[in-house]
Amino acid sequence: MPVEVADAVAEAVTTWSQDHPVRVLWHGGEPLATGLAHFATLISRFGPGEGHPVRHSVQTNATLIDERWCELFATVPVEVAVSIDGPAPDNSARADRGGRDSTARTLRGIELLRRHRVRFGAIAVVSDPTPARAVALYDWFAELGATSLGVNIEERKGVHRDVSGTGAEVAEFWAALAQRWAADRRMPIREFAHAFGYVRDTLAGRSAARADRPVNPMPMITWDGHVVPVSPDLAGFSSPRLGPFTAGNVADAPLGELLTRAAAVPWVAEALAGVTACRASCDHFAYCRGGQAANKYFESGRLDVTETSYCRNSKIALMEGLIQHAQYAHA
Amino acid sequence: MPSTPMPETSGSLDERVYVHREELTVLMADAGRCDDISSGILGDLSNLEGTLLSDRRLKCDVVAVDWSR
Repeated sequence: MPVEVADAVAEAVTTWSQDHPVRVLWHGGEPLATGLAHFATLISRFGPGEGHPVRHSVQTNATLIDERWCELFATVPVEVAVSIDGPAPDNSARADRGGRDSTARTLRGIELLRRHRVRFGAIAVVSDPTPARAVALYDWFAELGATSLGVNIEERKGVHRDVSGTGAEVAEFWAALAQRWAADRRMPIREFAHAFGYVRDTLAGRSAARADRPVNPMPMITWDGHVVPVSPDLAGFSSPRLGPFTAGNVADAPLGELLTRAAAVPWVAEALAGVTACRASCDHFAYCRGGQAANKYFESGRLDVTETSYCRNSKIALMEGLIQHAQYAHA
Repeated sequence: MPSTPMPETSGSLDERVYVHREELTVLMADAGRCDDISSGILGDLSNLEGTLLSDRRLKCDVVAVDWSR
Protein backbone atom coordinates (compact mmCIF):
# COMPACT_ATOMS: atom_id res chain seq x y z
CA MET A 1 0.00 0.00 0.00
CA PRO A 2 1.47 3.34 -0.99
CA VAL A 3 1.83 5.86 1.81
CA GLU A 4 -0.54 8.15 -0.07
CA VAL A 5 -3.37 5.62 0.30
CA ALA A 6 -2.67 5.25 4.02
CA ASP A 7 -2.69 9.03 4.36
CA ALA A 8 -6.11 9.25 2.68
CA VAL A 9 -7.53 6.62 5.00
CA ALA A 10 -5.88 8.14 8.04
CA GLU A 11 -7.52 11.48 7.32
CA ALA A 12 -10.99 9.92 7.47
CA VAL A 13 -10.10 7.76 10.46
CA THR A 14 -8.92 10.79 12.40
CA THR A 15 -12.20 12.55 11.70
CA TRP A 16 -14.22 9.52 12.80
CA SER A 17 -12.17 9.22 15.99
CA GLN A 18 -13.59 12.52 17.12
CA ASP A 19 -16.88 10.68 17.69
CA HIS A 20 -15.94 7.11 18.59
CA PRO A 21 -13.04 4.65 18.73
CA VAL A 22 -11.79 3.37 15.39
CA ARG A 23 -10.07 0.08 14.70
CA VAL A 24 -7.93 -0.29 11.58
CA LEU A 25 -7.64 -3.91 10.48
CA TRP A 26 -4.64 -4.78 8.33
CA HIS A 27 -5.16 -7.94 6.39
CA GLY A 28 -4.46 -9.44 3.02
CA GLY A 29 -3.20 -11.71 1.57
CA GLU A 30 -0.49 -11.50 4.13
CA PRO A 31 -0.02 -7.99 5.51
CA LEU A 32 3.38 -8.73 7.00
CA ALA A 33 4.65 -9.41 3.48
CA THR A 34 4.83 -5.67 2.99
CA GLY A 35 7.91 -5.70 5.22
CA LEU A 36 8.41 -4.42 8.72
CA ALA A 37 9.81 -1.01 7.82
CA HIS A 38 6.99 -0.19 5.41
CA PHE A 39 4.35 -1.57 7.77
CA ALA A 40 5.71 0.63 10.54
CA THR A 41 5.60 3.60 8.17
CA LEU A 42 1.98 2.90 7.23
CA ILE A 43 0.96 2.61 10.87
CA SER A 44 2.77 5.83 11.67
CA ARG A 45 0.58 7.77 9.25
CA PHE A 46 -2.33 7.22 11.64
CA GLY A 47 -2.38 9.37 14.73
CA PRO A 48 -3.53 8.20 18.14
CA GLY A 49 -6.99 9.58 17.50
CA GLU A 50 -8.79 12.76 18.45
CA GLY A 51 -11.14 12.28 21.36
CA HIS A 52 -11.22 8.51 20.96
CA PRO A 53 -8.39 6.08 20.28
CA VAL A 54 -7.36 4.70 16.91
CA ARG A 55 -6.26 1.09 17.29
CA HIS A 56 -4.65 -1.25 14.81
CA SER A 57 -4.98 -5.00 14.35
CA VAL A 58 -3.27 -7.35 11.99
CA GLN A 59 -4.48 -10.69 10.65
CA THR A 60 -1.49 -12.80 9.77
CA ASN A 61 -0.46 -16.37 9.05
CA ALA A 62 2.50 -15.64 11.37
CA THR A 63 5.05 -17.27 9.07
CA LEU A 64 7.05 -14.05 8.71
CA ILE A 65 7.04 -13.15 12.40
CA ASP A 66 10.50 -12.81 13.82
CA GLU A 67 12.08 -11.04 16.79
CA ARG A 68 11.76 -7.65 15.14
CA TRP A 69 8.07 -8.07 14.40
CA CYS A 70 7.50 -9.11 18.01
CA GLU A 71 9.28 -6.00 19.18
CA LEU A 72 7.05 -3.89 16.95
CA PHE A 73 3.89 -5.58 18.22
CA ALA A 74 5.06 -5.05 21.78
CA THR A 75 5.81 -1.37 21.33
CA VAL A 76 3.08 -0.01 19.04
CA PRO A 77 -0.63 -0.53 19.52
CA VAL A 78 -1.13 -3.41 17.10
CA GLU A 79 -3.21 -6.39 18.14
CA VAL A 80 -2.40 -9.70 16.50
CA ALA A 81 -4.65 -12.47 15.24
CA VAL A 82 -3.26 -15.57 13.57
CA SER A 83 -4.91 -17.54 10.79
CA ILE A 84 -4.39 -21.22 11.47
CA ASP A 85 -6.83 -24.10 11.23
CA GLY A 86 -5.30 -26.43 13.79
CA PRO A 87 -2.32 -28.79 13.95
CA ALA A 88 -0.63 -29.96 10.77
CA PRO A 89 -3.30 -32.30 9.35
CA ASP A 90 -6.05 -29.75 9.86
CA ASN A 91 -3.97 -26.84 8.58
CA SER A 92 -2.74 -28.54 5.42
CA ALA A 93 -4.85 -26.30 3.18
CA ARG A 94 -2.69 -23.36 4.20
CA ALA A 95 0.17 -23.94 1.81
CA ASP A 96 2.64 -21.39 0.50
CA ARG A 97 3.02 -20.52 -3.16
CA GLY A 98 5.33 -23.47 -3.55
CA GLY A 99 2.61 -25.77 -2.24
CA ARG A 100 4.47 -26.42 1.01
CA ASP A 101 2.60 -26.83 4.26
CA SER A 102 2.99 -23.66 6.32
CA THR A 103 2.01 -25.09 9.70
CA ALA A 104 5.49 -25.41 11.16
CA ARG A 105 6.34 -21.83 10.21
CA THR A 106 3.07 -20.54 11.65
CA LEU A 107 3.69 -22.37 14.92
CA ARG A 108 7.21 -20.97 15.04
CA GLY A 109 5.74 -17.47 14.70
CA ILE A 110 3.24 -18.16 17.45
CA GLU A 111 5.99 -19.43 19.70
CA LEU A 112 7.84 -16.15 19.17
CA LEU A 113 4.70 -14.21 20.06
CA ARG A 114 4.35 -16.23 23.23
CA ARG A 115 7.99 -15.74 24.13
CA HIS A 116 7.58 -11.99 23.76
CA ARG A 117 4.29 -12.08 25.65
CA VAL A 118 2.36 -10.69 22.69
CA ARG A 119 -1.25 -11.72 23.08
CA PHE A 120 -2.84 -13.21 19.99
CA GLY A 121 -6.25 -14.34 18.88
CA ALA A 122 -6.85 -16.94 16.21
CA ILE A 123 -9.18 -17.61 13.32
CA ALA A 124 -9.67 -21.13 12.03
CA VAL A 125 -11.43 -22.43 8.96
CA VAL A 126 -13.18 -25.73 9.63
CA SER A 127 -13.74 -28.02 6.66
CA ASP A 128 -14.92 -31.05 8.65
CA PRO A 129 -17.50 -29.74 11.11
CA THR A 130 -18.12 -32.75 13.34
CA PRO A 131 -18.61 -32.91 17.12
CA ALA A 132 -15.21 -34.56 17.56
CA ARG A 133 -13.57 -31.81 15.54
CA ALA A 134 -15.27 -29.18 17.71
CA VAL A 135 -13.78 -30.59 20.89
CA ALA A 136 -10.34 -31.07 19.37
CA LEU A 137 -10.43 -27.58 17.89
CA TYR A 138 -11.29 -25.88 21.15
CA ASP A 139 -8.75 -27.81 23.19
CA TRP A 140 -5.93 -27.28 20.73
CA PHE A 141 -6.38 -23.53 20.49
CA ALA A 142 -6.89 -23.11 24.21
CA GLU A 143 -3.64 -24.98 24.86
CA LEU A 144 -1.93 -22.94 22.16
CA GLY A 145 -2.65 -19.86 24.22
CA ALA A 146 -5.03 -18.05 21.89
CA THR A 147 -6.92 -15.32 23.71
CA SER A 148 -9.96 -15.86 21.49
CA LEU A 149 -11.04 -18.00 18.58
CA GLY A 150 -13.04 -17.20 15.47
CA VAL A 151 -14.45 -20.19 13.60
CA ASN A 152 -15.19 -19.99 9.90
CA ILE A 153 -17.02 -22.96 8.47
CA GLU A 154 -15.60 -23.50 5.01
CA GLU A 155 -17.42 -21.30 2.52
CA ARG A 156 -17.74 -20.85 -1.19
CA LYS A 157 -16.06 -17.54 -1.67
CA GLY A 158 -13.71 -16.05 -4.22
CA VAL A 159 -11.68 -18.78 -5.86
CA HIS A 160 -12.65 -21.24 -3.14
CA ARG A 161 -15.50 -23.48 -4.30
CA ASP A 162 -16.04 -25.97 -1.48
CA VAL A 163 -18.80 -25.82 1.11
CA SER A 164 -18.68 -28.05 4.15
CA GLY A 165 -21.37 -30.11 5.84
CA THR A 166 -25.12 -29.90 5.97
CA GLY A 167 -27.10 -27.70 8.32
CA ALA A 168 -27.95 -30.49 10.76
CA GLU A 169 -24.39 -31.82 10.83
CA VAL A 170 -22.96 -28.38 11.37
CA ALA A 171 -25.47 -27.70 14.15
CA GLU A 172 -24.04 -30.72 15.97
CA PHE A 173 -20.58 -29.24 15.54
CA TRP A 174 -21.68 -25.96 17.11
CA ALA A 175 -23.52 -27.78 19.91
CA ALA A 176 -20.39 -29.75 20.75
CA LEU A 177 -18.29 -26.59 20.64
CA ALA A 178 -20.74 -24.88 22.98
CA GLN A 179 -20.60 -27.80 25.37
CA ARG A 180 -16.80 -27.81 25.37
CA TRP A 181 -16.62 -24.06 25.77
CA ALA A 182 -19.16 -24.11 28.61
CA ALA A 183 -17.05 -26.64 30.47
CA ASP A 184 -13.81 -24.72 30.06
CA ARG A 185 -14.40 -21.04 29.24
CA ARG A 186 -10.73 -20.15 28.95
CA MET A 187 -11.06 -18.92 25.41
CA PRO A 188 -13.97 -16.85 24.09
CA ILE A 189 -15.49 -17.96 20.79
CA ARG A 190 -16.24 -15.05 18.49
CA GLU A 191 -19.36 -16.59 16.98
CA PHE A 192 -20.86 -17.35 20.38
CA ALA A 193 -20.18 -13.84 21.61
CA HIS A 194 -22.14 -12.49 18.69
CA ALA A 195 -24.96 -14.99 19.06
CA PHE A 196 -25.22 -14.17 22.74
CA GLY A 197 -25.72 -10.54 21.82
CA TYR A 198 -28.85 -11.56 19.95
CA VAL A 199 -30.00 -13.85 22.76
CA ARG A 200 -29.56 -11.10 25.34
CA ASP A 201 -31.50 -8.65 23.21
CA THR A 202 -34.26 -11.18 22.64
CA LEU A 203 -34.60 -12.04 26.31
CA ALA A 204 -34.71 -8.33 27.08
CA GLY A 205 -37.51 -7.83 24.57
CA ARG A 206 -35.27 -5.92 22.18
CA SER A 207 -35.24 -8.31 19.23
CA ALA A 208 -37.27 -6.04 16.96
CA ALA A 209 -35.19 -3.03 17.94
CA ARG A 210 -32.06 -5.03 17.21
CA ALA A 211 -33.33 -5.80 13.71
CA ASP A 212 -33.78 -2.09 13.09
CA ARG A 213 -30.49 -1.04 14.66
CA PRO A 214 -27.80 0.22 12.30
CA VAL A 215 -24.78 -2.02 12.06
CA ASN A 216 -21.32 -0.62 12.29
CA PRO A 217 -20.08 -0.15 8.77
CA MET A 218 -16.60 -1.24 7.99
CA PRO A 219 -15.32 0.00 4.70
CA MET A 220 -12.48 -1.95 3.17
CA ILE A 221 -9.73 -0.06 1.37
CA THR A 222 -7.57 -2.13 -0.93
CA TRP A 223 -3.83 -1.67 -1.24
CA ASP A 224 -4.31 0.59 -4.25
CA GLY A 225 -7.01 2.73 -2.68
CA HIS A 226 -10.25 1.21 -3.93
CA VAL A 227 -13.13 1.38 -1.46
CA VAL A 228 -15.37 -1.63 -0.87
CA PRO A 229 -18.08 -0.30 1.45
CA VAL A 230 -19.78 -3.63 2.16
CA SER A 231 -18.68 -7.25 2.31
CA PRO A 232 -14.92 -6.77 1.88
CA ASP A 233 -14.41 -10.28 0.62
CA LEU A 234 -15.60 -8.88 -2.70
CA ALA A 235 -12.47 -6.76 -2.98
CA GLY A 236 -10.50 -7.42 -6.12
CA PHE A 237 -13.33 -9.21 -7.89
CA SER A 238 -15.53 -8.03 -10.74
CA SER A 239 -18.97 -9.03 -11.88
CA PRO A 240 -19.61 -9.37 -15.62
CA ARG A 241 -22.97 -7.75 -14.95
CA LEU A 242 -22.05 -5.12 -12.32
CA GLY A 243 -18.40 -4.39 -12.98
CA PRO A 244 -15.62 -4.23 -10.40
CA PHE A 245 -16.66 -4.29 -6.76
CA THR A 246 -15.47 -0.82 -5.87
CA ALA A 247 -17.19 2.40 -4.90
CA GLY A 248 -14.31 4.58 -6.05
CA ASN A 249 -10.73 5.29 -5.12
CA VAL A 250 -9.37 7.45 -2.33
CA ALA A 251 -7.00 8.96 -4.85
CA ASP A 252 -9.99 10.60 -6.52
CA ALA A 253 -12.21 11.62 -3.60
CA PRO A 254 -12.12 11.62 0.21
CA LEU A 255 -13.06 8.32 1.81
CA GLY A 256 -16.03 9.81 3.68
CA GLU A 257 -17.40 11.25 0.45
CA LEU A 258 -17.07 7.93 -1.37
CA LEU A 259 -18.93 6.18 1.43
CA THR A 260 -21.70 8.74 1.47
CA ARG A 261 -22.24 8.18 -2.25
CA ALA A 262 -21.83 4.41 -2.07
CA ALA A 263 -25.49 3.44 -1.85
CA ALA A 264 -25.99 4.77 -5.38
CA VAL A 265 -23.32 2.48 -6.82
CA PRO A 266 -25.26 -0.29 -8.62
CA TRP A 267 -23.60 -3.26 -7.01
CA VAL A 268 -23.88 -1.72 -3.53
CA ALA A 269 -27.55 -0.96 -4.20
CA GLU A 270 -28.09 -4.58 -5.18
CA ALA A 271 -26.38 -5.74 -1.98
CA LEU A 272 -28.57 -3.46 0.09
CA ALA A 273 -31.62 -4.84 -1.71
CA GLY A 274 -30.44 -8.26 -0.59
CA VAL A 275 -30.51 -7.10 3.02
CA THR A 276 -34.03 -5.81 2.52
CA ALA A 277 -35.02 -9.20 1.10
CA CYS A 278 -33.49 -10.96 4.10
CA ARG A 279 -35.38 -8.68 6.45
CA ALA A 280 -38.65 -9.50 4.71
CA SER A 281 -38.18 -13.25 4.54
CA CYS A 282 -35.87 -14.61 7.24
CA ASP A 283 -36.79 -15.48 10.81
CA HIS A 284 -33.11 -15.05 11.74
CA PHE A 285 -32.79 -11.46 10.53
CA ALA A 286 -32.60 -9.89 13.98
CA TYR A 287 -29.70 -12.22 14.70
CA CYS A 288 -27.92 -12.21 11.34
CA ARG A 289 -28.83 -8.77 9.99
CA GLY A 290 -28.73 -9.65 6.34
CA GLY A 291 -25.93 -12.10 5.66
CA GLN A 292 -22.88 -11.47 3.56
CA ALA A 293 -23.03 -10.02 0.08
CA ALA A 294 -19.85 -11.88 -0.87
CA ASN A 295 -21.35 -15.25 -0.05
CA LYS A 296 -24.52 -14.35 -1.92
CA TYR A 297 -22.53 -13.35 -4.97
CA PHE A 298 -20.15 -16.28 -5.05
CA GLU A 299 -22.96 -18.78 -4.51
CA SER A 300 -25.56 -17.32 -6.87
CA GLY A 301 -23.98 -14.64 -9.02
CA ARG A 302 -26.28 -12.05 -7.48
CA LEU A 303 -26.07 -9.80 -4.43
CA ASP A 304 -29.80 -9.47 -3.77
CA VAL A 305 -30.61 -13.08 -2.92
CA THR A 306 -31.25 -14.25 0.63
CA GLU A 307 -30.20 -17.49 2.27
CA THR A 308 -26.76 -18.91 1.47
CA SER A 309 -24.68 -21.83 2.63
CA TYR A 310 -22.88 -19.36 4.84
CA CYS A 311 -26.23 -18.44 6.44
CA ARG A 312 -27.12 -22.08 6.96
CA ASN A 313 -23.77 -23.21 8.36
CA SER A 314 -22.50 -20.18 10.23
CA LYS A 315 -25.73 -18.55 11.39
CA ILE A 316 -28.75 -20.82 11.38
CA ALA A 317 -26.87 -24.00 12.34
CA LEU A 318 -24.92 -22.11 14.99
CA MET A 319 -28.06 -20.88 16.68
CA GLU A 320 -29.59 -24.34 16.37
CA GLY A 321 -26.44 -25.75 17.96
CA LEU A 322 -26.74 -23.39 20.91
CA ILE A 323 -30.39 -24.36 21.34
CA GLN A 324 -29.45 -28.03 21.07
CA HIS A 325 -26.90 -27.49 23.80
CA ALA A 326 -29.56 -25.81 25.91
CA GLN A 327 -31.88 -28.78 25.34
CA TYR A 328 -29.13 -31.21 26.39
CA ALA A 329 -28.41 -29.14 29.47
CA HIS A 330 -32.10 -29.11 30.35
CA ALA A 331 -32.36 -32.87 29.89
CA MET B 1 -34.16 -21.03 -1.18
CA PRO B 2 -35.40 -23.59 1.32
CA SER B 3 -33.94 -23.76 4.78
CA THR B 4 -32.03 -26.85 5.81
CA PRO B 5 -34.16 -29.02 8.12
CA MET B 6 -33.17 -28.77 11.75
CA PRO B 7 -34.45 -30.61 14.79
CA GLU B 8 -37.15 -28.97 16.89
CA THR B 9 -37.57 -25.84 14.88
CA SER B 10 -41.24 -25.13 15.49
CA GLY B 11 -41.91 -21.59 16.60
CA SER B 12 -40.02 -18.46 15.69
CA LEU B 13 -36.38 -18.14 16.65
CA ASP B 14 -37.25 -15.52 19.26
CA GLU B 15 -39.82 -17.87 20.79
CA ARG B 16 -37.43 -20.79 20.87
CA VAL B 17 -34.74 -18.69 22.51
CA TYR B 18 -37.27 -17.66 25.10
CA VAL B 19 -38.28 -21.27 25.74
CA HIS B 20 -34.65 -22.10 26.53
CA ARG B 21 -33.90 -18.86 28.32
CA GLU B 22 -32.71 -20.46 31.56
CA GLU B 23 -30.17 -22.77 29.93
CA LEU B 24 -29.01 -20.07 27.53
CA THR B 25 -28.57 -17.61 30.38
CA VAL B 26 -26.35 -20.11 32.15
CA LEU B 27 -24.39 -20.63 28.96
CA MET B 28 -23.91 -16.90 28.50
CA ALA B 29 -22.69 -16.26 32.01
CA ASP B 30 -19.18 -14.81 31.98
CA ALA B 31 -19.12 -14.83 28.19
CA GLY B 32 -17.46 -11.98 26.38
CA ARG B 33 -19.71 -9.35 24.91
CA CYS B 34 -19.80 -8.49 21.26
CA ASP B 35 -22.51 -5.94 20.84
CA ASP B 36 -23.04 -4.57 17.39
CA ILE B 37 -23.83 -1.08 18.50
CA SER B 38 -23.97 1.53 15.84
CA SER B 39 -21.44 4.25 15.88
CA GLY B 40 -21.13 7.90 15.04
CA ILE B 41 -19.50 6.96 11.79
CA LEU B 42 -23.04 6.73 10.46
CA GLY B 43 -23.16 10.47 10.60
CA ASP B 44 -21.11 10.37 7.44
CA LEU B 45 -22.98 7.42 6.03
CA SER B 46 -26.60 8.40 6.30
CA ASN B 47 -27.38 6.83 2.94
CA LEU B 48 -26.44 3.45 4.29
CA GLU B 49 -27.77 3.79 7.80
CA GLY B 50 -29.68 0.79 8.98
CA THR B 51 -28.86 -1.28 5.98
CA LEU B 52 -25.18 -2.09 6.06
CA LEU B 53 -24.23 -5.70 6.18
CA SER B 54 -21.71 -7.53 8.08
CA ASP B 55 -22.05 -8.97 11.48
CA ARG B 56 -18.63 -10.47 10.95
CA ARG B 57 -17.11 -7.06 11.34
CA LEU B 58 -18.57 -5.83 14.56
CA LYS B 59 -17.12 -3.73 17.26
CA CYS B 60 -16.20 -6.68 19.36
CA ASP B 61 -14.27 -6.86 22.57
CA VAL B 62 -13.37 -10.50 22.36
CA VAL B 63 -11.77 -10.82 18.95
CA ALA B 64 -9.79 -7.99 17.54
CA VAL B 65 -9.68 -9.08 13.93
CA ASP B 66 -12.74 -10.99 13.18
CA TRP B 67 -13.39 -11.70 9.58
CA SER B 68 -10.28 -12.00 7.47
CA ARG B 69 -8.74 -15.35 6.77
